[in-house]
Amino acid sequence: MGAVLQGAVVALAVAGAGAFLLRRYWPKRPGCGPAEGGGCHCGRDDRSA
Amino acid sequence: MDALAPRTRPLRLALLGNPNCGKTALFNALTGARQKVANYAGVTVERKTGAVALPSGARALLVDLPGTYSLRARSPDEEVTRDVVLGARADEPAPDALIAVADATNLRMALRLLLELKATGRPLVLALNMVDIAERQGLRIDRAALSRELGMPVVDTVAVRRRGLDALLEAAEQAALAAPAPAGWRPASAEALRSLHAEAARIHRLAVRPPERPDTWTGRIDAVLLHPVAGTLILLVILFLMFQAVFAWAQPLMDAIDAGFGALGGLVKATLPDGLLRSLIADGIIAGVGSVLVFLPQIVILFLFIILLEDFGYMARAAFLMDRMLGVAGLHGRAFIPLLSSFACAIPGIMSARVIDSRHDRLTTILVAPLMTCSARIPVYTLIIAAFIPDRQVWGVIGLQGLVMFGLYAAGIAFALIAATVIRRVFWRSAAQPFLMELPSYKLPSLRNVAQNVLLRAQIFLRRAGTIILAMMILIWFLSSFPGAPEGATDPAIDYSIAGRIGHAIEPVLAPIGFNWQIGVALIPGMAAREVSVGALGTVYAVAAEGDEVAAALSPTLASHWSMATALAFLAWFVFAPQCASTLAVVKRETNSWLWPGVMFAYMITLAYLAALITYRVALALGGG
Repeated sequence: MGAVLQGAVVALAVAGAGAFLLRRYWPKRPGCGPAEGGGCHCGRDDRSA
Repeated sequence: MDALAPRTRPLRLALLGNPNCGKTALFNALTGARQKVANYAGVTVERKTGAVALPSGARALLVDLPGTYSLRARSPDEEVTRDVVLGARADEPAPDALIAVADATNLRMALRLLLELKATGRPLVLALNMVDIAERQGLRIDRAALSRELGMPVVDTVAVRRRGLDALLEAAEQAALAAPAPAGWRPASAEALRSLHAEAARIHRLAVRPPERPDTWTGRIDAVLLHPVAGTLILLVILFLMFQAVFAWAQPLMDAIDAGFGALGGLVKATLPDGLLRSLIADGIIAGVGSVLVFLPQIVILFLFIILLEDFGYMARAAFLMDRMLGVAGLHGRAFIPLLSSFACAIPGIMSARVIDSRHDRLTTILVAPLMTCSARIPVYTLIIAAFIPDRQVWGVIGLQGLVMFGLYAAGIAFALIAATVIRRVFWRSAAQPFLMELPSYKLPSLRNVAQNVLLRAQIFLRRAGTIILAMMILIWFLSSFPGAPEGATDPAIDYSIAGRIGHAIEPVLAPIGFNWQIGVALIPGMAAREVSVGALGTVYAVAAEGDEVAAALSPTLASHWSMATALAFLAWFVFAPQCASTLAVVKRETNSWLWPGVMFAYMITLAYLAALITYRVALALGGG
């Protein structure tokens, strides 16, 4: 695999991980709150509905 | 409501009843959800909703409400129940019908609430739950008399065996469609309460015949398990055996998972060409996430024990035994439930502190709950114990590693009690509230419930490994790899990376407690979740490994890089450190103030630093350098 392609895949993975964590630890909307097991969750506690 | 008019929205049904009568088990059976069910009161502290298909084919929304003995709410969770029933919540339409759940073995407790609910005018159905146990105890319940006296349909159910569900839903739908206008409800006067008690007692005498041969087993077992000396000893032995099993049984599985990740890392290094991608996958993802996933067997075994004990009905007895100890520390007896939940995770523990009605008692409980050893600490503890504590027996039969684990749990409990005493003395001096608790009957654990709950814990752990920990490991790998070493550099490349520089920058603060810069790098992302620290150590040491060498398992790596004093100080740090941003956020939400998360962070980080400092210095003095 070319160095450029490897670099692109790695950059994408790092950016994706950063975006995921930012989204998870930046509670913003009403109704969002800390979730068991770390991070936050939004919406009601509907696990089946 | 006109039964023939087309419905524009699904029916709303609310499940409610006394604590520990099986509401959540019934909710799970009806909706297929997997809410936590335990054989002690106070598991549900906020209302949960789920969709359910009615026998008519229509769909309904089912609301599971926190348990209460009366609509005269005293604690925040009971207020939720009262407000939903009365339609007093702006964000929640009033239910079309109430499904009152009653424990058939303890109907006396349910009757007063049933009479109060009847006074609200809401359509009502009574689910007579756990009728199988009532029958086994020889209780005879006259359903027709009960239905006639209460003026509501009565349906037999056994939630854990999914019996009576269709009949219950059918009755609830009929009740909802034939709804009269609600009559409203006002708190009863003392006189009205007395007549309510008298009416409940009258109906109980009429409808319930006691067994001809009363059950003496519960009494006999309780005579031993609740004995101040024998009961406490049995509790300690059970906890002790639990931690021995965590180490003894999990080891073969852990070795297998470890070997699996080692082989996977080797395969990636052998097949991918040398480069960034290979380093990311092998050093970042496999070494980092793998070093956390190894602990799955221990988490499953620990929760298997806890859930079996809950289901059997033992945990409420443990609460009874602990009440005296909690009382000495100034904690309310009801604090046992939040503190027990905190062994899984401090977040549900802090939320369940809503069962405590006094604000001071509730705040004290919230502030000390994170000192209970949550499951995220297990990977940290077991990693260090496996690396530094010899796997040998003391006094012939007791495993030393299990003993140290037991000691760490005991330290968490002991310091929570000490912290509670100090908090009550520093912040407020109100008298402790009296505590009344209903002891559930002993039950054979339901295999379905046990399996479901253990699976839920495993899922939470795996989901974390696949999301937060994976993302963190990718970032830590990036920070440990860039920028690379300059031309002609002599130090290891990681020293020049962003993570290396951050680690070296904070090293002076951590050096007095024996922490090296790699630990400093691991502690910062560990704020997301404690076990991320383990993964971060795995990644940092893997990136630092030379060339094509496959990173060894983390445990032997630490054993060769750390002194015994550093390892013990690291354990002491994790007993106290507020290494969990989500816990601080939930304290902010539950107290509606930044003051209390601030107080919590300040006292816990101070304790962590002092504990690590003392441990490190004492260990050095004893030759652990």
